[in-house]
Amino acid sequence: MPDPSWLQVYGFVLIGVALTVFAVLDGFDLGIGLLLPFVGRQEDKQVMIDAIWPVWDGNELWALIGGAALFALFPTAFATLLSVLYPVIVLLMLALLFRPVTFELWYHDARARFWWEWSFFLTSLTITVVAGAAYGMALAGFPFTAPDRFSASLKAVLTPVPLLTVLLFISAFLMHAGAYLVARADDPVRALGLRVFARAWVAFAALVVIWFVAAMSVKHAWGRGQPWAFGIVAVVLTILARALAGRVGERRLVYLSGLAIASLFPVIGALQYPVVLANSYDPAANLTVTDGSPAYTFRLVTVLASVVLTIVAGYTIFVYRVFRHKVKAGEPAY
Amino acid sequence: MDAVLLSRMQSGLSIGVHFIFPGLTLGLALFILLAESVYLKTDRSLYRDISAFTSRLLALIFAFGVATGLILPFSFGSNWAEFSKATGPIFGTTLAVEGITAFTLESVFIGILLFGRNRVGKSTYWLSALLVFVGSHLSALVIISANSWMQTPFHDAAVAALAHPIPDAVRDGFYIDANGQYVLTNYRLVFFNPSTVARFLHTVTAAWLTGAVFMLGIAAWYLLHERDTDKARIMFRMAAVLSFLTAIAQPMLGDAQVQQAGKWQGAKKPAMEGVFVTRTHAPLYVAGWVDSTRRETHGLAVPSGTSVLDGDSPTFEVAGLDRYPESEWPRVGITFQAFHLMVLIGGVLIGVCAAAVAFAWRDNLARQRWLLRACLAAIPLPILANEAGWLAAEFGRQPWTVWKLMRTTQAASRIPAGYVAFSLPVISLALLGLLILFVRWAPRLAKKGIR
Repeated sequence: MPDPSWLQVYGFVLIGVALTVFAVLDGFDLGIGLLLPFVGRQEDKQVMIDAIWPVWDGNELWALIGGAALFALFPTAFATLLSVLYPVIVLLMLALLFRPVTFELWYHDARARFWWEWSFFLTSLTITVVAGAAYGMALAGFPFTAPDRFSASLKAVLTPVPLLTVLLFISAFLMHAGAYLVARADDPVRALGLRVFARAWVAFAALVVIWFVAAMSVKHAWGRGQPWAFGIVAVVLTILARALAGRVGERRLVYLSGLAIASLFPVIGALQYPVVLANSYDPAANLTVTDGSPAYTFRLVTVLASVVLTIVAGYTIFVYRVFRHKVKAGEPAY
Repeated sequence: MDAVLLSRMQSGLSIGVHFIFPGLTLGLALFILLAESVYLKTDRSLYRDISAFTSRLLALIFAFGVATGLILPFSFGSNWAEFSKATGPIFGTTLAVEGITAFTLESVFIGILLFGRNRVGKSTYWLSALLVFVGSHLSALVIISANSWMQTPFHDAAVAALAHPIPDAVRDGFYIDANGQYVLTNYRLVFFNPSTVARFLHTVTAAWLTGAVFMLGIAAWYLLHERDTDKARIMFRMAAVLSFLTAIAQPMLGDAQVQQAGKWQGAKKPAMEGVFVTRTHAPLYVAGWVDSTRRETHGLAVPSGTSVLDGDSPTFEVAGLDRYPESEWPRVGITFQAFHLMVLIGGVLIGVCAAAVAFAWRDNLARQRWLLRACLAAIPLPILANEAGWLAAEFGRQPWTVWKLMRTTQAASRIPAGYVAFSLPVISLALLGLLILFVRWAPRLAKKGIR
């Protein structure tokens, strides 16, 4: 592999940043999807939905940014990944097709709420599981059976690293949802959020350690990154999230859980770098950061993304500030 | 059936269903911006109510648009992997630009539009309406530019007409290297390729027409049922003017696109017009059918119409399909019918919208029940016309995915046909389910009162 240019490294980091923001923002609304059917009272469910409604669009969008940036910068990796994972992608498409709609119709279709909240649960779960499994396989290597053939069998997913990554994501998003509800709701939903945060944190903390050890033990034919330092940061931030939970204001708890989740991604990036798509059939067929688009596309997309996404971050923060109040039960959303 | 055909069906259905919603979104975003602007100036609560009502409809439409739209970039990778690998530096860049600059604006500020009325000041709220409008239109521009590049990648009509044209880095803004990789060299040239602007104007005004007729029909329903009549009357006037202006613009903007296709895309124009043989006195078909085996078109026609439209003279020679090798013909029947359905609906809409404008300021508007019923019945017409126009544009581009550079058979993923044979019914059922939900819920929401 030729030495990567700094632009190629920057492009790799940029996609990682977009996917990190996706996990940190969409993480809590996916988590609320996982919680919703298990909450008893209608008015509590209403508060949970109202708390995420104004912002979910802006959250989900970061998956599109990450995906489109991968398409532009590493088209071969993008197309190979999506075509070899075809059956999984179809499942993901179904979830993406129905999730926004279940959300909208839960509100309007009062008689069928039972169905809509379970659909919301299932679509949220599917997105979480597919994301977790994909990251897990990115770390363990995608089980290709030929240079461009992938074994679609479940066995590929049912190995320790993908499974642990799935569980890690589920616990992370539940923890994050709990923290978000603490910031955006009054009792009893606030208390519920606090309980969910505390319990999910235990699972998350245990999983971070086990997952990191398991991921490190995979024989990485590539492994040029320095994951140790990032792994330690992730563990420290995870512990801090719990230790400071009682001391920071209610609104800050969600920052702590967001930071803990964000700290997973440098670990994933460092374990992967310089590989973009790991091919377990033939490590020589790994797609690395040097297998991307020509330099002009890199310059265009990275400069544009750096400038414009900073502005986007600005107005996203503004909108989150507009919706920082505690959601009141029984207040019509619109 | 092979994987390519199945993939074409799946992508066609996905994009076709998605295309319903962005059209409405653009139109309603304009409608909201207009109502909010009047409200900001005059402080009349009537306009605030109209805007709030339209915003709730927009929320539902936007949710369906996001749902059906978000799967499309994934389907490029899953079903059109060879296309994605080769053109990623260009096509992927366009999707990234759309996500970064445009979709961000609309999806973040729509939150304020829907839930922020009492949480931000009046001018901030107006600004949010403006940004949703700007974001959705920027989105349309970028996506249309991507589609236009697939239709007209060359900046020289003589080159586009060659049998094997080669893109030039300086002239066209990209070239293809020895490995078949498309290399971007000048994004401005790719973005503003020869058909981007004309296609954008035609599509966006058609989207405004779609949104305006949607609101016109809803206002008519309120007038028919004598509910919220004061607001419905204002809504009716706004929608009537907007729909009339955009409807009468269509023949001109549409013909510009036909002429453009004639200049840049060889066999596409004669296929839309059903002209097999190059001739003078070429007729202009209003409606008809194509006999592909005998290579004849039959139907109701204006004698010499196409010759006059193209060259201002009946003796002008119109190029027919015989000018092009048959391996480069699109499917003539469906391209012809889709094109003519669009034109026919456009004509009907001009009539309905003109009548709506004529009666909009009369006191007896509410008693013109025939007109109000016609407006209500017209709601689906622009959507059908959009779909037909899109089908004509896309079928007309075949057999190419990227004009003269990549055939659709070369663009598809090399995946087992069984994969797509399984996903096609699954995705189709899901899309059908979504359509049913939309058709069920949009009217219920629209009948809840203008407030």
